[in-house]
Amino acid sequence: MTLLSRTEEMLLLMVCKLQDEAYGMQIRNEVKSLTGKLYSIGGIYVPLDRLVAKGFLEMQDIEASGDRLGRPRRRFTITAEGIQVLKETRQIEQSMWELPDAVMKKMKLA
Amino acid sequence: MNDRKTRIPWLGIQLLKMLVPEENLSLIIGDFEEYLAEEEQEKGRVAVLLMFWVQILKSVPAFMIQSLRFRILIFNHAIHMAVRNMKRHFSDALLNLIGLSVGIAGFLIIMMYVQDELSYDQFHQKSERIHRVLDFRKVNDIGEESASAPTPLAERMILDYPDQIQAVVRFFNFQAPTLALASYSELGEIRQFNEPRLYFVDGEIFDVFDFKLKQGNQESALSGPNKIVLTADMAAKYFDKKDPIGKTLRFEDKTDFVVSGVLEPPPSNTHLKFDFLVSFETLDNPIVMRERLRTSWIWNPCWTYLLLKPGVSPEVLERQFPTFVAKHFPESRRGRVKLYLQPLEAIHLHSNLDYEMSPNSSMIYVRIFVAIAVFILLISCINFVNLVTARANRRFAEIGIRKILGSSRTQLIWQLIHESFFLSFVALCLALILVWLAIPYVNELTAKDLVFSPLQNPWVLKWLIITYLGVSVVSGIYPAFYIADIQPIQAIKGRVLKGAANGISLRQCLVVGQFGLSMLLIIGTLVAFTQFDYLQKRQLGFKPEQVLLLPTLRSPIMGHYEALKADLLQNTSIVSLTTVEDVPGMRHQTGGYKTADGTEQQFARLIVHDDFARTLGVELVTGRDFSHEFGTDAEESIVVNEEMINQLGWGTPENALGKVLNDAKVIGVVKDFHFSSLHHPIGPFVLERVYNDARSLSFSARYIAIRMETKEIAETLGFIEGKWKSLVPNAPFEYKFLDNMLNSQYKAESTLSTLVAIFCSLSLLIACMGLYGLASFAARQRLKEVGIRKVMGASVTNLVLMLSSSFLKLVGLAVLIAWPVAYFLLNEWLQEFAYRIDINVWPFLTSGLLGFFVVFITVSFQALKVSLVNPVHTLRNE
Repeated sequence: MTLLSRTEEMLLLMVCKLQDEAYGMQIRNEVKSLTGKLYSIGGIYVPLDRLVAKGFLEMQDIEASGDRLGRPRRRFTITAEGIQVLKETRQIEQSMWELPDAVMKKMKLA
Repeated sequence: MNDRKTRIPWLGIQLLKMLVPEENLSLIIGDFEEYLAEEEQEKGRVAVLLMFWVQILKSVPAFMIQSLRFRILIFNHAIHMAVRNMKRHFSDALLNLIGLSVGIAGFLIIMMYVQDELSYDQFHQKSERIHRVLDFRKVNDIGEESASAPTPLAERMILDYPDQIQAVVRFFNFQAPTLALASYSELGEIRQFNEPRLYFVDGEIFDVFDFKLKQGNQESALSGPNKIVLTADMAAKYFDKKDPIGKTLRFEDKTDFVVSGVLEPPPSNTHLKFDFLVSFETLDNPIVMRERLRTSWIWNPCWTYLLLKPGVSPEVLERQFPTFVAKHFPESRRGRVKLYLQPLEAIHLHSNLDYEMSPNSSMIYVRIFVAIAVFILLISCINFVNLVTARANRRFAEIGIRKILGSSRTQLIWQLIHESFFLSFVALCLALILVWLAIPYVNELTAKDLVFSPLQNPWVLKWLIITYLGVSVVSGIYPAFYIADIQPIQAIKGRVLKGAANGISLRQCLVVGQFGLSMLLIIGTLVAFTQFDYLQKRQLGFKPEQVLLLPTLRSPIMGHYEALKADLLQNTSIVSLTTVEDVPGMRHQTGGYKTADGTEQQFARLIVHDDFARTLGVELVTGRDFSHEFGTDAEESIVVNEEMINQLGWGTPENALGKVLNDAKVIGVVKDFHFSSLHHPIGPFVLERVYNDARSLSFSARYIAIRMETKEIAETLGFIEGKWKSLVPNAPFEYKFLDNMLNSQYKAESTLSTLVAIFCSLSLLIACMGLYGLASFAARQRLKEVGIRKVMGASVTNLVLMLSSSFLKLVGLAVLIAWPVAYFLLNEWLQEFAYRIDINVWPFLTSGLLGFFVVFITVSFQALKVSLVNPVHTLRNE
């Protein structure tokens, strides 16, 4: 099975979260505001393209408006495979986080 | 739509256009517009402009990855196709790759060798300003052309031309083959050796040349008398691992030298090869060098190097030398001495004078090697092109389909060029492995220290890149254009095409060219070998076998010569002994001789001891050899050769007896023998008997020559050493066999012929591999034809002959072209030698027959395979 990297997981979740607004720039801004990690403008597409190549995302260039002076924007949408792999990842993480009670107690104390 | 103007500067747009792949460009520009619009509201125009450029810089790596990925995608595809093709036609591809990689490897190895030859003495920073003084002393074109000059010349030069000459360095070793050194340890252990590479040099050596000291002060290490510096290897030889600085080395059992430094290992690409350097001031001590010799203008033993001041032209300085000669040389020499300057960098490849410090190479050999290197690379490239175009026919269908699916011509060409880049890259990697494996053997054969480290040696890297690009482009472009021009419909049908017909004729030209080059190399090798063999086997006129030479110059043994002789002759294995002034068959001295009518002439000369003719095996025509029975031979007698009699017009040898040269009578005439190397013709020659006084014996008797006649060589050597040690226990004993020494003179030729032979076989091998591939292709093309012919009753023999004949015709043409070219080139080369073979018809016939034979074997193998196929298999589909 595929194990997503943290970046991949984060980007997939962002795309889900932004839904119809999941354009490159918006994803970049969202990543910045949530995690503080700042991609360069060209750089954000590198991991996104990789996810597209893996089949977890689909992309679509859309006629644009507003500040873009008529330039298209690229919208990403998650595929069924993408959702599947996210679920699997969450399951694994959850199962990993199932810690014995003794440890949980210690963690609370700390 | 917003009608505001764009915020992105023009330059930024251009940059993005360059960096971003077409399909993403609009998107990225849009992103930038959006970003800048947002930020501008917060931070203002100027800040935004700055932020834009920062963003561009940050994005560059990402853009690069994207565009590279696109390129790699296409290249990847080409590699895929190449690998698939290779798998499908594995043996063809293997032939192709091995041929090309062997070719590249051969080319690289030869070019490394050539580069090393060309780099001699160029590592000195001031090498362009350093010149050697040559001292030519000739009358009527007879005499010596010496690479060394009189000892006091250097001191005078710098006084007379202070504006032109910055510094002078002399190398001096008494012109002795070896000099004796010894170390005495505290425990009383003595180590003594005869050192062949010890030189007395001026202290400026480290300023003028780029030799360096590992230990010790370069300024002072060689100033002041009795100082010596040595290499680390030599330090270990005399002092083991102890620090040698401050230790003493005893010179010729008389003078102590103090070690003042250890030399960095000198680079191998210099003609100045030394293990020990001793300060020149040491020679001012009359025990080391007698006053008369130290100041002599007649004897010219010093290799003298001038460092000219920047901007001084050597030609201008050279023009002042006649005045210099008139001012300083003694009256008797002025008429015949001419001084010249020779650039340091030219010495290794362009200098072949008398008394060179070490044997030099020759530019001719470098040219021959470059030619061979280019031939081999060319042959293997031609192979590659031939095999690729031949194979292309199999890919007609693929190309046709691609065209129908919409590939443009450019795309197809690029695909094929990419494939060729990939294949030659694989070949290059193989070639590098081959070179790496071969270099130790090449070094052994050529006595060089070639190092194959492409990353450390920018020169090798340069050649690698040039070779790679050259091979890829040359071998890729022609097939690419040829294949890309195919008409799709015909291609799919598999018809033979117009383009293909052209291709075949060009291929035929290439085959002819390739075999022509191979023939040239084969003929060259055969002739070079015959010539070399001739040189080695030629009647020298004397018998160097079983003759031992003991270096004695400046050795105390000459004080005990008569005692040694008496001792040695008691042993029945020893026939006779004499002394010689130089190695017979290698070098000689010259002397001026007055004939009866009062004219003086220069003749080649050796000063020898009694029994010379007997010891060296020289035949006497008439008269007698020098002998102890006549006490006055030194003063009154000389022996001459037959050529002298011809030259002076004395008529018969008997008539010559009693004639007078320099007040000495001719007492014997010897048959002409090769007293110097076979590069020179035999000239008139004089033998003189050495005087019996200690001075003459120590100066003119440089070797004791001993003729042995025994199978127990080791035992006899032990006997001689025992006698030597009992007479002079402190002088090291050393010996050389005359025949070995003589053969070493032809080392350049022998290395050349071995290397040429190796690379010539390689080239033939490569050419045959190519032909094998072509033949198999041609045979497969004619499968159906062969099938029909078989059905009609043709025999296998008929078919094999038919299929082979087209190739044999090509080889015939190649042979016809190669013959005259080879004849012309070899004739030029042979002019180098005074004694040379006549080029006869045999090498040409042999090479032609060999070529036909090899080609017939290669081609008929394929032809036979096709002819034996049952026609049912080839014809059933029609």
